[in-house]
Amino acid sequence: MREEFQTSLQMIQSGLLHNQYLCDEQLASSVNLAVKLGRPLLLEGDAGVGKTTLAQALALTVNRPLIRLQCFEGLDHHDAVYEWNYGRQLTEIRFAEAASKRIGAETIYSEDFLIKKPILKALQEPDGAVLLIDEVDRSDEAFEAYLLEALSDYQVSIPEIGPVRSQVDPIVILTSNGTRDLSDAIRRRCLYHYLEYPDVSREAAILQVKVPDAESQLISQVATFVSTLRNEDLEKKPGIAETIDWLRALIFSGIESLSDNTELIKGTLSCLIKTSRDRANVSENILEKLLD
Amino acid sequence: MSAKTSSKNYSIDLPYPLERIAEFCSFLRENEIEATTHDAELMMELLLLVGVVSGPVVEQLWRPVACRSLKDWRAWPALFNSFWFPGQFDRSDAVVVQSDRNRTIDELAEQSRALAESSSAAAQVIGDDVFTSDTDEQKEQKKKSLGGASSLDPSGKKIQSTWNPTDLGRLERLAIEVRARLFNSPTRRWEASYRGRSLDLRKTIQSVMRFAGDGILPGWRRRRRKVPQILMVLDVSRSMESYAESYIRLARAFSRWLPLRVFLFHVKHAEVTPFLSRDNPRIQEKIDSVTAGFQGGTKIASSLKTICFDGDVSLSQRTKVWIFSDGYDTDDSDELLDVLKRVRGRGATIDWFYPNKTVADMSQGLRLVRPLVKGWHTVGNLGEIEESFGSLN
Repeated sequence: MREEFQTSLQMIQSGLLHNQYLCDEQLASSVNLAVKLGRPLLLEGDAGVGKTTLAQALALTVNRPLIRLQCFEGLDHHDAVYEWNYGRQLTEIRFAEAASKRIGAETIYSEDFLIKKPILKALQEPDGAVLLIDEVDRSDEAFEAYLLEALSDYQVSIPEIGPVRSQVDPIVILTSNGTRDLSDAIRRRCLYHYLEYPDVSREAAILQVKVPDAESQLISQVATFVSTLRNEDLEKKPGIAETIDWLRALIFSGIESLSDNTELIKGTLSCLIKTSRDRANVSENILEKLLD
Repeated sequence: MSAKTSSKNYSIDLPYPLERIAEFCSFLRENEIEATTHDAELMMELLLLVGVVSGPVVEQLWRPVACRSLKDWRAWPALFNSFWFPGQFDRSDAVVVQSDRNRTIDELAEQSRALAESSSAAAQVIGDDVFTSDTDEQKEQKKKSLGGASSLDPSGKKIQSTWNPTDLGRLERLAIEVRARLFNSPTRRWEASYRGRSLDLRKTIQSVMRFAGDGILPGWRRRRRKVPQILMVLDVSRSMESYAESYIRLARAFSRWLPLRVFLFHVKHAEVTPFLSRDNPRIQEKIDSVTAGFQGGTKIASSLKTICFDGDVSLSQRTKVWIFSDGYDTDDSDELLDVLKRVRGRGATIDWFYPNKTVADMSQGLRLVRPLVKGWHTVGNLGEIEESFGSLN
């Protein structure tokens, strides 16, 4: 059993790496647990640390379709689970009337007239799916409560049909940026992982994977710079995606080292610093010091 | 049944794994990680699944199971090591647990007790009578050891004598009124709702078109109501000594009815929300623990910054920050201005409750931040508290 567990852990780690997602042992272990135990994994962390990307890479790794539910304020089960296709139902009734046939509720309320939304699709995927419930903190508390059934039993209830149980349990990844506190009930049903910003060496390794044509010296400088910048008092700290964008912008601008052309480099910093307040906070002096 | 975990440097024996895991979960709960019986079962299941493994692997495996939040996540390594490997407890981990805001109530209280025992100056003084036998110098030392925090017991007799049960009942009623007002204030936005009483004309017409005029599916809507999130930040410094206990009592009454998180601060801060639901002397322990060993001043700006931006508090448009302080701050005035600007920048509203009678009594720092604060409320006595909260919206 232990060997099997270790093997699956290594497979997930190498699979994610193969799909350009470099994860540490703790994250691989959390993902492996989620897969093995069939429990949803709640990922929290600042924006841009790679929560959504993990789900995408995981879907490729386990060779299952990724079904994404983007949460927003006002999201309800009609957007997330199912909706009846009233237009088609009405047409069906009209055809039946024209043919002088009687049509029953069991026909009208059958799966043919059901518009499946992400959660139902994920439950009914024959080979299982990776269900990404993105930014769950943006949804309302009412929807969060609705999710409880879906997440604990992998089942949703449709009044006209009855409960729909998953054929193969989906791998569920929930992400949250912490814009509001999630309920204890939903936290209890999930495994939890907090994604931190990577340290310099890990970020450099990620950059190497994502931008293979970059020089290692520049990668190392960029990773160190961004790591130092994150320690400044910023409203919006640069995430990994921003670092990758910045590195690409530097390469595009023909910069080979951060000591090359300070003015040109400052021009590319809009990839990293994205609010006016942060621009004001990171003064010229700080930038000079960081670039040195 | 027995399981054994080992690593290169250390090993742990689990002759009775279930009992030890249950003890561990109990230890986690004492340290504010809500590990349930189900979590304990899952931990056991994982041990059986993985078999004989090293300590670090178990630590990695159990972490996603037991942790529920960032606070838990950060506290985990130190707690795990201190329970399973107390002899080889990494000092650097110990610092994490004991020195920063992740410190648990027990550790804080323990540290407080240790300080109290090691120095007479750090005695935990509850009640005025203890001071009576001391010299002036000793009194001063004791006050310093509390870092300027109130030495009064908020849950003790003083409050009962100050506010009688009728007054406390008034506070409860006030809390219910505030709740009714805050929860029932509809926003200008609508939301679709089957229970709504207003017809959503757009959706209804769309449904008519969908059915080519043959059918109609009325859409209903109602005003969206936002549940507020309230942060009550109480200054317990020496200058607030005569008010802090009343405000804590107020926080207790309010916490039963409102989604409230309560923080105490002077030079350090601590969250006391979990202790507000019951009369518990540990609030005083918490205050003492936070204050012991730190001397001088009140740091409003840096405390607010840590509470609002470095912890698990998330500010949004529905957050209401209630600050109870006289505004005397040893941080720079500009620093307070910066912090409040950041709080406002996240869309949160700020109400400042101060015990002084007039605006003229405001400190320099308060004058600077006046435009950022939505409401200034005088809360010097129960009547003023009722009046202030009566006008709050």
